[in-house]
Amino acid sequence: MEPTFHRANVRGSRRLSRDTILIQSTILFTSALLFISVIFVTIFILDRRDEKHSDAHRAERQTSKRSRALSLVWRAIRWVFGTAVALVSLAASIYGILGGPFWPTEPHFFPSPPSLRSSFDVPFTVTNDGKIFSVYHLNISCVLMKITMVGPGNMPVSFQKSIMTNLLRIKYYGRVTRVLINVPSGTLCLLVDKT
Amino acid sequence: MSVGGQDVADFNVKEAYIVFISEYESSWSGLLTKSKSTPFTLVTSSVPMYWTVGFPLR
Repeated sequence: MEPTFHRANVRGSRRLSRDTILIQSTILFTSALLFISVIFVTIFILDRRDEKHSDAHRAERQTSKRSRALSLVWRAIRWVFGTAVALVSLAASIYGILGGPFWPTEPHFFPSPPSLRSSFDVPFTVTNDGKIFSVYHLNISCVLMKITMVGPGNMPVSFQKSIMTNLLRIKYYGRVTRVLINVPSGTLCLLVDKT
Repeated sequence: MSVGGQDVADFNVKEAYIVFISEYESSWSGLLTKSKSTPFTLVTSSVPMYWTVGFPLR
């Protein structure tokens, strides 16, 4: 059975969903692409204007219109391909130099290795993988989506929705780079330690 | 925490799924951003139990 997702109550006056970030990023990327295109078109027009006054251009005017069109297309393809290769190379270089993504990333959660203590006594580590953009005022909620437990008499226990939701609230103010979340046994609550 | 007068620590966990919801202020937008982590599953078939990313294959 697919676990039911219970959403925790989160307070906040200004909210930005993942879709909004995606739209903003798309607009930003499109604007950058448009800006680069405008620059190249401007360079192309200036280049063409200079060529009109040159002897080479007068010789070129004698050729057929078809070969000139092909030449323009070939030049445009070279410019587009060269720009794409340059941008990808630049992005890969920045990624390699910084050792991680340079774009805004979500907090990354991963569990620590298992211990012989209680199953809920396992810390989770939260990291910000982004190397440029910082994360501030982190507020974490741990939502227990589903849990099945068996009591001492092999009697299954079902939890109420009110217990299953909003088990954890963590508020950490400041620049977040790495946070360790620990789940003490029995309490089903999490503590946070700055490392 | 107790359920039915018994401490939760006395119960054996058969399955558990958790997810983290985080709200933070991003430096690039300055706005409050909300994100949900990938779900984590408690693997109860091994000793000791451990948390793994995602849902197990049925």
